[in-house]
Amino acid sequence: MKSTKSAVLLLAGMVTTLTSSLATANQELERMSSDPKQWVMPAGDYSNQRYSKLKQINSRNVNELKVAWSFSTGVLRGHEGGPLIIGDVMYIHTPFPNKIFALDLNDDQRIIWSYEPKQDPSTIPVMCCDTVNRGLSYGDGKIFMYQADTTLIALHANTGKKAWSVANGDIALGETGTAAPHVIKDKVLVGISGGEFGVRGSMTAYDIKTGKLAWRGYSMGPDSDILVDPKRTTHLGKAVGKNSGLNTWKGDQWKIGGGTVWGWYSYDPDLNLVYYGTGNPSTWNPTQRPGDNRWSMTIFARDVDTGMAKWVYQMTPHDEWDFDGINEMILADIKVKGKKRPALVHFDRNGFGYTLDRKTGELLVAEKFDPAVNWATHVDMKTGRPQVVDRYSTEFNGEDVSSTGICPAALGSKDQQPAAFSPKTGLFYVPTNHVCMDYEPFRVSYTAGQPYVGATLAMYPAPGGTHMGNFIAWDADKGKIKWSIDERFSVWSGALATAGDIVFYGTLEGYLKAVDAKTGKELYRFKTPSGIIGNVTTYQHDGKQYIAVLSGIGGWAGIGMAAGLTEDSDGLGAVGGYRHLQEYTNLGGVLTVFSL
Amino acid sequence: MRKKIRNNIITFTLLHLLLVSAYANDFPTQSRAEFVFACMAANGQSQAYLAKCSCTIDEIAEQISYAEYVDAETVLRMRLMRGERAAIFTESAWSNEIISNFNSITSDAELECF
Repeated sequence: MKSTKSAVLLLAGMVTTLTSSLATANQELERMSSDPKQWVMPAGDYSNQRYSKLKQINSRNVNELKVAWSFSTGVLRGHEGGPLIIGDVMYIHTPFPNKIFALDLNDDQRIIWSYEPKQDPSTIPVMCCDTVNRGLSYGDGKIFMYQADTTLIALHANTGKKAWSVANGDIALGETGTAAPHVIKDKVLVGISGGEFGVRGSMTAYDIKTGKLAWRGYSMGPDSDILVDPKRTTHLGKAVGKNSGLNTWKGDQWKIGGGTVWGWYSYDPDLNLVYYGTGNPSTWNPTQRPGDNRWSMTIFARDVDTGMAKWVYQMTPHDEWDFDGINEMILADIKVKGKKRPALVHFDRNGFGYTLDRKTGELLVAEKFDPAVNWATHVDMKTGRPQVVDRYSTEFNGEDVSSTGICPAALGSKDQQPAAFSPKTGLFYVPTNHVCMDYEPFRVSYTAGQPYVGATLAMYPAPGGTHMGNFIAWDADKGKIKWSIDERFSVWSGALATAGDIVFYGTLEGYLKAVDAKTGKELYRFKTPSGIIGNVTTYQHDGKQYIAVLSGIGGWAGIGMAAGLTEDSDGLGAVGGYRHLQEYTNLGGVLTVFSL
Repeated sequence: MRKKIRNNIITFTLLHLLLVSAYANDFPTQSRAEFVFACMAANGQSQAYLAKCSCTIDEIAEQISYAEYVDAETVLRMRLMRGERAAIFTESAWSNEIISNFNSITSDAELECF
């Protein structure tokens, strides 16, 4: 086990010194991403805006939307992410076992090829939060998937044949893969999941042609591991200094420090920077790991070619609530306080909506995007530190004490489900949680591959409310909610904004909803076969605009079993009944595709 | 005087309509059909179960609104999810109340129909 890890480290060190080749794969991909008929990367484009210029479906006719076709994945469990549309082919992924289907859009969605990796089933128990996978990426004629067991595979897009594969982590240490890989220039970038197992988080870049490791930047550890320049890498304009990934940790706790990486990565081609956030420090018991625990809970801006960090910003120093900072960074050029800025907008689990200058890392706005947020009064704009309220501080209240009424809950005011931005309205559309918690930390000891959590939680809807979620429109200049829709359940589906002046999102009840981008007025809803935690996607084929979304959570609710399975069923007895029921309920996740 | 009575009657009728429409017959056919399909798959693919299962969903639809039905369906489905995110649906008083209300209504409906 240990030798594998040090071999990888050694390799990382060797390869970072090599220079990377010219980026031709990326030019093709950048060109493709500007064509709104296709959807060639997880968020549609590098800026993570989830915005489409298509407007055949618009605020006037969206109420006429109908199901065009649907596709059953045959896999139960939570379906996150969404399909890719490359030319006339759609690529669909599933949760564990991580199947991939290539469908021919010219031929009634005939399956051109499908792929199912062989994975060790012992991967499943080390996945903290359902066996999800957030999707595929495309580049250089290949489809990339980051499997649950941390294998990154490259398949030829035409045939589904494997080009190369590489193991990024080790499930025996609790390291898993859930996020989509991202193709940037001549590299494929993958993070790592396993914050609840004491994994040390990292972002790793592999060569798109060969799968060779190009660089790996850890979230904590020595400067050479975290790829910072003590003099030139800045935190709110100041150099981070030597050993910034070590000196806010007790002893060698950084080795099991968490800070995992499992969100959506964005990229600015002009600045050559990739942006992403890191997760919670391990364990969830803050008393056990004194210090700021840098660089967990941090926004990273790294040079794509070398991995070197240009700037960092730690949002929640010394986390006491599991407020992972992994949510997507949306790049948008907007006016902030009267000045046009190359902005980065981020809705953190901790309940603050941040606007930064993505070139310099300067903090411009930090305001609550859910009025229920109470763990901090505000963010000090000079130090960037949230001003924590003692009553809701699980460190202040101490181990084995339940801190009650903390808002938001551990799953945050918003989780990974990505928000959208419309350049037409200048607004951000954010799916949120409106949930609070009681949190009781306790002492734990670390064993490799075993859960390393150290807190018990109870979660419930925010006080006074009968709803667990909101869908909001956010003004990132003023740091204010423009409008807000009460949702009975948390919104765990990624949004889509379009030039048709509409915004789409899905709900846990299974509704695909379309609302007016300016007012939030509901214009359309359709109930898909299961709850939606996937992201809404749009594309155009043969002159027609389509909206696609994956539904699928947990399985079948079981309503309708009525008197149970005791009675004779068609003379087959209970066994026959179960078989029928299985046929009925094993449809698994479904991709539903709509058109006018 | 006469006007007042008429107003009262109108108010009463409106209220009555509101109360009734909130609870009866707002289930889409698709959702009733889905229930019947699943119920027959579980119990038997026969005319007898078609009648029993249809009766059950009609009884449920008379007792609760479709929105309440969807709430219960959602909580039950979320309870099958793995990991920390399922916790709020398995442990919170809020979701337990949704399910216990729903269970008492469905068991009444089953008693009525089976």
